[in-house]
Amino acid sequence: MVAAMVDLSGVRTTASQSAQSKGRGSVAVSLQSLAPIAPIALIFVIAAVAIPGFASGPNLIAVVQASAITGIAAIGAAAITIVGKFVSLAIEQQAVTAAYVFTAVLSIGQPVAVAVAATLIVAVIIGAVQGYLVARGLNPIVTTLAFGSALFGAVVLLSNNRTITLRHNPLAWLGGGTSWGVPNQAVVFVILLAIGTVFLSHTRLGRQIVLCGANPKAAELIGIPISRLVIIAYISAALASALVGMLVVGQVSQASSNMFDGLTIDVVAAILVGGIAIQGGEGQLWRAGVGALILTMLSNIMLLLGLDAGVRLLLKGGLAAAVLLAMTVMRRRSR
Amino acid sequence: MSRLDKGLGLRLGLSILLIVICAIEVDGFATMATLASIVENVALIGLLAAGLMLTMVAGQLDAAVASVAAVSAIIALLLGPYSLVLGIVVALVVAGLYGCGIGWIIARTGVSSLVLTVCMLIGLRGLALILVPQSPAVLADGLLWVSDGLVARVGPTTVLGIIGLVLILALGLGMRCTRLGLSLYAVGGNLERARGSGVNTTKVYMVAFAGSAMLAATAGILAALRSGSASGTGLDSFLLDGVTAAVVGGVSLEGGRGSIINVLLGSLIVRIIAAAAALLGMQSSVESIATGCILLAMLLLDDALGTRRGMKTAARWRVLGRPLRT
Repeated sequence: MVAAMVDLSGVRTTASQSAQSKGRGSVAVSLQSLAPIAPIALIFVIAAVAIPGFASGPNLIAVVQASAITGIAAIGAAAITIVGKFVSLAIEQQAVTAAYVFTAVLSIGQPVAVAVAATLIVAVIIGAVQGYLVARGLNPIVTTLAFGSALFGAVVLLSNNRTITLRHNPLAWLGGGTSWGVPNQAVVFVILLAIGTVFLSHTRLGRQIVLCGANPKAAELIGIPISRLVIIAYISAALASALVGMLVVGQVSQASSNMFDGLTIDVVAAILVGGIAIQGGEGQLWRAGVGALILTMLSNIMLLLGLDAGVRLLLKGGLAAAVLLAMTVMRRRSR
Repeated sequence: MSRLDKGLGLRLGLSILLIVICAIEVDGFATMATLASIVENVALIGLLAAGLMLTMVAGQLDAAVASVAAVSAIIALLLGPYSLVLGIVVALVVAGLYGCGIGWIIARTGVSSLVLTVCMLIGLRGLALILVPQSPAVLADGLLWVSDGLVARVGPTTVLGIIGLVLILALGLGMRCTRLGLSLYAVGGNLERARGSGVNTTKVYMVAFAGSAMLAATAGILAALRSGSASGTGLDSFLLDGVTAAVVGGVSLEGGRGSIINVLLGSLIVRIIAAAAALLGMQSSVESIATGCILLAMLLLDDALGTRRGMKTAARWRVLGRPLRT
């Protein structure tokens, strides 16, 4: 009973806080929403001036394509963070699975619609199983680590670790094409980001997911089906990974077991660098996209500067840790 | 106490059952060579799992062990040409200082240890690749006797196995019989109550993470000395192996629960299966499927046998990294 009272008072404070912040005027809000553009613009301008080759057309398209791939996976995985289950360590394994399912179905002569449907169905199953396990109370990071290992082993075993190459690639227009000079992958990314943002802030289900991450006890008390929301979050992460798998197959016309090496690291780093509160409960999905863009630009710059893979990884990990700590300390101060 | 015995009996029974099945079904399993290799690997994985157990018992998790092991092994081998002892000492000291720092940050800021150490897993892997960008660091020719000495057979195991087992058992004694060891359990079992009864939680977290980093470093250095080389991308299976051994060994991810004998039996179960799979000529993909499935099954079992729901919720809140008042 005491616990229940504490929780309800917690809900009330959150409600009054949000009422206060609304009353503070819209200037601060709009400035805050512009804040993420600043680091991107700053990095872009400095790099364009200082590094020859950065602002060239082909390089910018490469940056946009790479950040779209990381970004799509990141906004899906961000659902897991927002619902309060940290991050998934099975993202690249999910994407590899999707790529193999997609190419395998296509290579036995099925139409592209069947291949897409099969890939999405497999993704839903993968997401639902992980979501169910985590919703039962299993540790999210260890569960996704174990699940990813089993999934990757199964894919390598079933494919005999062969690379499947498509002779005819029906998704080449989506994976490699451009619309008005913008890579189609980036168009997909922006559309998904818009859909996700509207879903989280304007639908009942989306708002429930945010509340579930912000205060799981309160959410449980007012009768929100937490397990179902966690399962939905994991399914959306798996679907986003599956989409990434299909887009990259569309781009390179083949599936191999190492095609997504490092994707999990990039996605985790993008979510952290973008500054989505790792405790969950903040539905600012664009942060994942911003994180992906910042990281990809930095990676590209470091590549152009001739820095090794090791330095790039060290900076990714260091930047993610720095933003994580800064966010945690700021959150504590604001209480 | 009775539940502890039940868990011990369960794991002991499972290990014996597995050994009997493998000895009958798998050709070449019931030999001294296989036994020695299993015990040696149990000691190696056991060191990792024992380190993870320190953090898990305190209600946290150190996900960076694989990269810490790789960096330490590389430092030891790179300094090897000057003095191998110096290299090992420097690697252990660096790992210990790193662990103290991580523990201090976690205690002071209340940041989620899971997520912070995942960042460290990424960043330290980068450091390993910076230290040896191309070809792996190798043991100098004059020092190859160390490698041979470590795998020299002693009874049912090897020198490496004995070093590892002695360290693990000493750690187990320390956890059960010293004030500091018991305060790890106290902090993991009920943080507020531990703090109320005067436990210095900052110190406990620093000890847990320093211990975890140093044990991972020991495992990494021993593995590198055994094979005679350490590469920038090596040892990356250590995280999954260590966590699997610890969880199969009944260490609760919710804190406050775990014993060293069970962790050793957990490592034994994992290594028996791996050895049998290798003898049957199975691909490594089968091993990763098996490891993943065992880990998931044990997580479910741990959950099903778990404590009362109220206590579990309290523990989950702590693992979720809510700010600690220090």
